[in-house]
Amino acid sequence: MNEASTPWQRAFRVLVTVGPGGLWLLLFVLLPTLLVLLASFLTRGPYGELTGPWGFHNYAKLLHPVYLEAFAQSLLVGVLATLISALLGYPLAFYIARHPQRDLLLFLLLLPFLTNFLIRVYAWLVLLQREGLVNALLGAFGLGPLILYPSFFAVLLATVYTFLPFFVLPVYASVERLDWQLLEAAYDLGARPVKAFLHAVLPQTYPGLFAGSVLVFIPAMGTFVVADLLGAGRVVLIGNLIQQQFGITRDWAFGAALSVFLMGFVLLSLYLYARLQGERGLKDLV
Amino acid sequence: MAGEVLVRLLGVRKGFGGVVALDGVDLEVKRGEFFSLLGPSGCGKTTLLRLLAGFDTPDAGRIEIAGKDMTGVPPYARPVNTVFQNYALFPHMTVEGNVAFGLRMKGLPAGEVRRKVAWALELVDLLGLEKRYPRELSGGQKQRVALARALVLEPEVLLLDEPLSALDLKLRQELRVELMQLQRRLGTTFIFVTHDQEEALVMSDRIAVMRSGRIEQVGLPDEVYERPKNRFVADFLGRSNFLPARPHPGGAETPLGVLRLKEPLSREAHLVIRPEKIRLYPVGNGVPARENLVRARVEEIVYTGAENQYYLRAGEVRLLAYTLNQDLQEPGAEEFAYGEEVLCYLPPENLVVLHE
Amino acid sequence: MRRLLTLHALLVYLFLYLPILVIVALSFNESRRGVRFIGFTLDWYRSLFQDPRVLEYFLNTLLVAFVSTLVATVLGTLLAVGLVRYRFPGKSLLRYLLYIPVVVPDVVMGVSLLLLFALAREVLGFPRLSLFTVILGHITFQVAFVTLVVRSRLLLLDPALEEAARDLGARGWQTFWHVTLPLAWPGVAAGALLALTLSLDDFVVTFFTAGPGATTLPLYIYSSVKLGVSPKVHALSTLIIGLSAFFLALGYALTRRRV
Repeated sequence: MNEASTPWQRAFRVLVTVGPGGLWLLLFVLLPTLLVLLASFLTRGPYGELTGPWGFHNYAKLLHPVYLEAFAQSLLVGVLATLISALLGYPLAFYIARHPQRDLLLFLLLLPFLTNFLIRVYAWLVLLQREGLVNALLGAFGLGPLILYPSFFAVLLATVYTFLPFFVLPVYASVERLDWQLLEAAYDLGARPVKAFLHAVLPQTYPGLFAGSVLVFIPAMGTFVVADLLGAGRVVLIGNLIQQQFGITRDWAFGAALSVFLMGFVLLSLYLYARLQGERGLKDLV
Repeated sequence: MAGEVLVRLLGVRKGFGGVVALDGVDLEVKRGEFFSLLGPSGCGKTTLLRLLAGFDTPDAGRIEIAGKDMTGVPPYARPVNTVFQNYALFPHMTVEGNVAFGLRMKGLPAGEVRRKVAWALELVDLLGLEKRYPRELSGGQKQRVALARALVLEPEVLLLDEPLSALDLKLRQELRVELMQLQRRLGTTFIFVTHDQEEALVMSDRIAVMRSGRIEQVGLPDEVYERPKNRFVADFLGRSNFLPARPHPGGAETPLGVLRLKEPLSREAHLVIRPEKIRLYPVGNGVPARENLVRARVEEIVYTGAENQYYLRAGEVRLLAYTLNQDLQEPGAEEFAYGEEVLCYLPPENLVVLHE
Repeated sequence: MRRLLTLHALLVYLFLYLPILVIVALSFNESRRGVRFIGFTLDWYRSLFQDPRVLEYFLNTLLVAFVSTLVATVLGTLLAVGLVRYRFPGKSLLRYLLYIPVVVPDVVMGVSLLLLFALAREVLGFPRLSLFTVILGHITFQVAFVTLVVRSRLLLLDPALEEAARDLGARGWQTFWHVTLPLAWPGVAAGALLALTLSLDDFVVTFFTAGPGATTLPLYIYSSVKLGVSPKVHALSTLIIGLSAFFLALGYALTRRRV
């Protein structure tokens, strides 16, 4: 709106609406982000404080094999969790979208998702522990017990479990918008079911597929709680490293460098996503 | 009408990010007029209305309403009210709430609000629907609520932004008449934006025809229709036949031969004639004149109910002519067939000269 | 094909519900360890309710959630209105800042706030890490979500409605109060509900910004779980699951009625 008004009135309106929230974002989002960036160039002092000298030494440390492995594991969790979510979630989104009771099914999908995140992770600990349900079932067939926890497998499973709805919802949204006439047209033109699906349906769901992948990939590789509880030290992701630096190790400078690295990686994947999806793709994400 | 000037625009300019929406508009609207802004979409007519309402600020120039400069005056302080294109009724308020909104903003006492709301609803014939919500109303009813909501504040000027365009044809025609009656009864100045030339011709006291941010012609409806100032106006208001013409002792020399005019041509120009002004006769009998007669062949006939539209060809020139679809028993009402030869009479008094 | 899809959906839903149902079942199980159901008991609930700390953590969680949601909803709604309606310098910067809490992993969010609070303590002498800093942290990510939700609602509204209000004589705050806010209300409510859920659910940001004595339920669950499986946590989880199911069902029923 560019309403007729004095500049003073306009400034006042902006100040009242944008002022408080904008100030908050500057103070609690921009400033901390800059602080992390700043801290990443500092050094840990003898008592865990941040001090000079300045330099890139924290970033150089990232190249150490221990940290490279943590990075590789994070990436692996992210990629595998995304793939498994796609296998589970993509057909489910179709099922829900074409079901007469789709509202109810969506509700049922979200219900476990809205119970506490920690409880959802913890539930898998209960299921996978040595005396847990899975081993009890295996025992009934004379198998096991297997050591399912702590393990990479447990971390992966719980990651998929916690973030699956993030994948289903955007795919569902694009299935709902789907133009089924294209499928009919493909049949009409003589395409067989598989080909018809690949050419007439799949491309229409790309936006949802991409958005879902980003929404699973980013938190999956960024989280530390799942690996902390279900990996119990055997699975160390970047998130766990960061937590350690700000916890027991008390090397905030290196922790900040890890954070900057993780943030950079997230922004890079978002950038690639935006390139794939175009401008409005980012808006679809939230 | 020689009334007092109520709205005055002087050299008003407005651009949106490099695109010129209004390019130096001067305009005067008199008190009590039904004034129409007519033009194709993108001509700047809606921009002009928004500047009058105060929703946008001109880049240059000056707007006066009732003698006061409106620069920097916000919409809520202007003596104008608007009927929006899609009505913009508040969906969370009843009909009554919508109509009372402006009165309540003014802080009028409840009794007066009630009295005025009842007056406005009676004005637009909506008594009894006070408790309905906009979603429970038909298009025509919504339109009336929008009118009542604006008129209840008794503005100096009522701005109407294509208020009938969302309605179907029949309703539109009914509401046209009602709007005209309402305007006459209240004597409020109406500034009416439309792209529908028929609407403008039927309803207005005066019309301003706009194109690309400029006003091409201002005048009475018959003036702009019968005496268009240029080819755009002639073409936008109804349809026209155009003929290039050169001065000639007998009148004008055109591709159809020499045509006699009311006044001789002084320089090269275009001649315009409306399709309904061309009269058609069968070849051979009953022709009333010897001049301005052109022999042509019927290429296409469009039957529209009230009239027949003939697409004709005379040599290289295409002509369009309408004949009223009267009782065929009446003399002079002829029907012609595809491929038939006809005689077209172009009356001199209906050949309008355009110097561009 | 259709049957295969149904079977698949059934299995996924089983996958989603099995862990939760197991927890609920175990909370009534007499056995302290393992999944063999040896007898029904409410002992774990009893010991949960007899633990005064749990009540304190519960109240802490509610306090944080309600205060932060209230502040974030007001700030976010105003910010959304400003972003949608006005042009001002720094607007695109604010838009980028809004996305940071949404896309950046919460660990990074947590440690950067920790750094901020530590620096502020060094320079200004406050704030000490406490429930107060937790609330500040929660508001920070909530504001972003509330703003985005309300903004998308505002973008759906016809700008002519606000113009109509102005045209009919409403001043700035009158337009906001009588027209903008009522029309944006579904968005504001949805944003507030989302903010509340995020706060109640948050572990990571709380973990980094809470000081000694500022324990919330998620922090309590975390520290108990680190010590191993505990039937008391089963009972607490069951209560939380029940509560969130109740509120979600309520919200579901309410939205269905409106349509």
